[in-house]
Amino acid sequence: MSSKPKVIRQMPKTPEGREAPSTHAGQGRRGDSERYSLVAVMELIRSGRADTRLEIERLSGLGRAVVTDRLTALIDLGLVEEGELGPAIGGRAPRRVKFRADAGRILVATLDSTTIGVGLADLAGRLRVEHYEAIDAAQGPAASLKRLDTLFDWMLDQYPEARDVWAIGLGTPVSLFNLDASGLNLDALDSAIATDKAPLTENLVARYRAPVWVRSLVQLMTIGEFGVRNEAGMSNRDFLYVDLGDEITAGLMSDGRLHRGAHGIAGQIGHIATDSSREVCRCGNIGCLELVAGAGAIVGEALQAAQDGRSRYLAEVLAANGQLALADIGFSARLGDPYCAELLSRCGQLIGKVLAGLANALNPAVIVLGGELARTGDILLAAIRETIYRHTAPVVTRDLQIIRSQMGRSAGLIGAGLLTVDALFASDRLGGWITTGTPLQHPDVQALLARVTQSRRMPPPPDPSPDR
Amino acid sequence: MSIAGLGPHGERGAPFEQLDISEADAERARLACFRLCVVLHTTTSDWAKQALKGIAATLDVYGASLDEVVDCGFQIDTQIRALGRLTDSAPDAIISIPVGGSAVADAHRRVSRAGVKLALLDNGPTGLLPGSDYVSVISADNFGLGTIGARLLSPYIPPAGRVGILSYQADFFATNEREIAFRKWMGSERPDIRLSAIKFPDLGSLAAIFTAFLDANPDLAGLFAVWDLPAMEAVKVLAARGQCLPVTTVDLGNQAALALAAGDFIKGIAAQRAYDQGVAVAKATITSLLGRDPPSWIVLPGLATQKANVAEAYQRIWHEAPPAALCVPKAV
Amino acid sequence: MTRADDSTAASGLGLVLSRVADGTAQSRAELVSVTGFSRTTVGQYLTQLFAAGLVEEAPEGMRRGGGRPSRLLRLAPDAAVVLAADIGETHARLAVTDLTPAILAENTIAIDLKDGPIIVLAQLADAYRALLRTLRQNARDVLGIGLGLPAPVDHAGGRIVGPSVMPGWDDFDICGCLTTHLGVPVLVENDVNLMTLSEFRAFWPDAAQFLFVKAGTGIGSGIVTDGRLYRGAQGAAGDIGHMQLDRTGGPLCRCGKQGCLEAHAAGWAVARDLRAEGLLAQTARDVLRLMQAGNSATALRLHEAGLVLGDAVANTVSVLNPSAIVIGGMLAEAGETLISGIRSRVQERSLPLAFRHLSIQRARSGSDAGLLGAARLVIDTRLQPRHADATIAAHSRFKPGSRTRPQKLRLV
Repeated sequence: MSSKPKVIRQMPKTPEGREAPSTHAGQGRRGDSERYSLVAVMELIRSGRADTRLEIERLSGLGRAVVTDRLTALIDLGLVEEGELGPAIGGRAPRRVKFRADAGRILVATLDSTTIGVGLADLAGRLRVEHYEAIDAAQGPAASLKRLDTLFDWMLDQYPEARDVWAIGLGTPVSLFNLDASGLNLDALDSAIATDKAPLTENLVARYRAPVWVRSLVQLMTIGEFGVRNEAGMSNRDFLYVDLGDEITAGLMSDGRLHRGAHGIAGQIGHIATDSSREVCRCGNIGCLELVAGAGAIVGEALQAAQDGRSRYLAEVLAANGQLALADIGFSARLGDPYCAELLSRCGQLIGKVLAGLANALNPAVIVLGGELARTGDILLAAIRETIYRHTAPVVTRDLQIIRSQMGRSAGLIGAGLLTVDALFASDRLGGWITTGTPLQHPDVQALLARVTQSRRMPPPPDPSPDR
Repeated sequence: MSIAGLGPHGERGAPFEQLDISEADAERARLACFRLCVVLHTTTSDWAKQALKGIAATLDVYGASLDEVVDCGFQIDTQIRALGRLTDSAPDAIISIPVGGSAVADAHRRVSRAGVKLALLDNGPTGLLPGSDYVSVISADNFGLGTIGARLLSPYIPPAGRVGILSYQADFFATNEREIAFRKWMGSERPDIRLSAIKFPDLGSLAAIFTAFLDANPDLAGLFAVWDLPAMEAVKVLAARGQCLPVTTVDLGNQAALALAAGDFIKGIAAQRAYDQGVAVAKATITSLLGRDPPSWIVLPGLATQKANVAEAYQRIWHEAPPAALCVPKAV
Repeated sequence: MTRADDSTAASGLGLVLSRVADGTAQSRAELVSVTGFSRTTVGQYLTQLFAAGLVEEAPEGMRRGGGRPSRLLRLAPDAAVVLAADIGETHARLAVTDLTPAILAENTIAIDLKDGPIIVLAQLADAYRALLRTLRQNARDVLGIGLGLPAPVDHAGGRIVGPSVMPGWDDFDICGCLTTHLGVPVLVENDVNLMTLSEFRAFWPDAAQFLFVKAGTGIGSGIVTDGRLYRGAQGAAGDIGHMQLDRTGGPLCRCGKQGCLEAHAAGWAVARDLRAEGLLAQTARDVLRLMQAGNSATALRLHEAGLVLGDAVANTVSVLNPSAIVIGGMLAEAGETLISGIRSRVQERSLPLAFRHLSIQRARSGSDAGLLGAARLVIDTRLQPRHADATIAAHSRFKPGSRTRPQKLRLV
């Protein structure tokens, strides 16, 4: 065997002196190298790269006594558990160890202009329960947030377990971010998106005594799609997820990492210009893709066609229901209504043209199409596919797959869980809490909880209205 | 009748009327002689009997055979074994009502992995995805049913009264949706009402739990049960104590229908259309076996039923003449 | 899920070296905060790294709040050398750099890519040996080789993808071949990506989301996300030149399609239009010369090119939300004539939040950008936590076991 790695692996020990295995997990102040090795062992187990003591020794370069001690500590802390016996190589069969995905739980939610989704996730990002309901946009964001509290409360009550909520993950469209808030910093534990007077996240932190991560919804859906595809063995580490709804947005995964953008708002492709409309978008620009090919735009066009008789099918649906939904258009197209088929095909081409440009620039291995519009059926998807293939470079299309998402809105909740768990277990943060066994003891989280408690105690700021 | 609830993955529901099989497709189906199996939580409830009737009648129309019907007796293990055994017998499709959430997810996933089409009734276990794991969930609009239950109960509750929710303590999508909707309607339309959950893990323990609750809460003014059997159990407890409370629930079972007609306890029922649901799931399965994608969330709106329209509703739901007892109150 | 950074892939010593090398820690205090080690531990690791000649304290330190000046830590420039190459169709620029990276020696040799990889790579190996001899260095001191190629590159596999671009090179194992010649690790990368990396690391290290646009005779771009090069599935990411901006029609592009960005705004397209007006122009260089000579038609045409370029860049901004965009290549020498058009279109088309802190400027790197990028790639890669321990083993000056060098470093 090569002697080189041995020399190097032992180097870190030299300045520390010999490490004496500690027997008191989670007690007292642990030394740096002890903390470092705990983090290293934890990461090997959580990522699934190692599941026996021998594997951990081999991959971490830590000595046998140290690994044994760290494993005992992690089991005592409740982060790791022993499983069945692994295959024996020579001597006794090794006892497998695995990450305890039920050590804590995560509240997850998605909130957009039409729908609220809530769920409870374990530390592997798996959902225990999920629920969705339509929201009345007219009642404003405050009502939705109140609903969020109610649903979280209900879930915690319906699924009572003796485990703490370790964190909350929340996804919301960038268009709902408060764009004028100064100092928008989405990396902070309590990211500063504000609604009404009180910051959204502060309410959640105070109510559930846990840190909150807020992210662009489409980015969470991207993580969710990636996570589930990855688990199913369909790992393509470079992919573009496109959400086709009222808004058209995208999430980019490169080499297995989410691309967030400088302000966390990467993926606003609905505002890419097409030259097929002179209409002014809510963003202030002209001819945005969303305006001509978003779900709202399509329903608007269909409504006109139903009223002026261009589509007999739609006219019938409108007469029967008093309104038109996107699904009606897809359904009519499948039944052979030429107007609806043409409408969906035209929108597919417009979307495809924009995606072709992005595919050239980004060279993804897979484009996943999700959202309500992608569920209207094959006509729109075929038009998108065909247009992308026609307008991209051969090297880009050579192995490009264009597929339809099957996850619906679950992608957002699953993504919220995965993102939050990864944030809690990120190696730089993990070091701050691992010796206590819970991220709620991380100094930053403690400081956040203290700050929120403090600010709740303070009297409300004086009303700035002129009559005071 | 619009659809109030969203699907297990947040989908907008497709009305079951949209499931239409063309004559050409019907002919293709008849030539193919598809073989199907059905796995139900129980086959003894009125709902199950009616759903089965709807399934069988529809399969007949399309020349498909119903090879086997399994009653799981609400048991997770029984369902897991049944799914495994039926999958091995390689039918073209299985129609199942999952008796739990994540616990039965893997067993269902294996059905479609083995190349057998899977259509689900009412419940989409967490973690299963449409397309790869199953064809469609064909469901009552459970959210709408909960809303109807709240709307029908509200007039009987005095201001600031206390209402109990007989809540199924299980990981079950359909009953969860009903309870959430009931609470939501009460929260926005009757914020004065105080809600208390009475959680029961199974029907056998309900009487004791409910009795204890009644002892501790003498001010209870009304009750909502997430389906008809617990409602009738609760009515038995109330009758035995000589306590009269207004109750609303979901499912127009025979006993519940009679109780509604009698008018003493049951004041309203959000009725599911079991027969139609059976028709819909059979059609969706055939559609998928013919190589077409049915919508992933197909919904049947509920029917608000009170004493005045119980006979009519019965006929509409069960596709048969109502028992004489239902017609009596109408003649009075 | 994937880790943000595979920091546990290295020993503590390797991790400290990595953090100094990638610039995340420039002082002992910063090392303490990014590694989580105590000050004492960090000090002990540093002592070893100083002794090994891998890390040094920079001559002058920065003063913080009027306190004692703290001395900046950096990778010792002379700990090893890097071989870099910027390969074109007909010639290759080769250089030996230190770890700054700064060029120590360079040479340009005539090649013909059409000769195929076996001949061309042997020519490169010979030229490198000669360069090392002049510097009195041997292969043992070489950290690695970085090659920039004018084609999409599968970086992980060390191969070119896309048969049409360089016949004979498609799918050829470049790394394996060159490693056989010189016995050191070889990295291959697309040339625009290397210019991007060089510009980013030298001038925009804090812009974590970075877009470099090369506007020359053709148009390409390079993307940096979270401080890493974004390569795409086939290594073809950044090809914005063939983004189609017209719904139908548009000028014919050299790729055979219509309405591509290049057909509107590349040096060749501008030259094409100037020729139609009776001017003499073939390449981006010709266009620039005309503008610098005060030809107003050229300036006007370049401004128009900037506007179209702006449309394409705006699309990219929508999806990437970068914090800085830098325009390089020959046409960027036209300065504001070109760049003001880009800026105004991007401002017009972007969400306010995406534009507010977005800087759009001309590249600062000179003509060495490709070479320095190649060297930078090697340095970054070999000092990642994953490779840091191996690098320490191979390049420590004083340490036990230095006589038992790994075999792969033996001179060929």
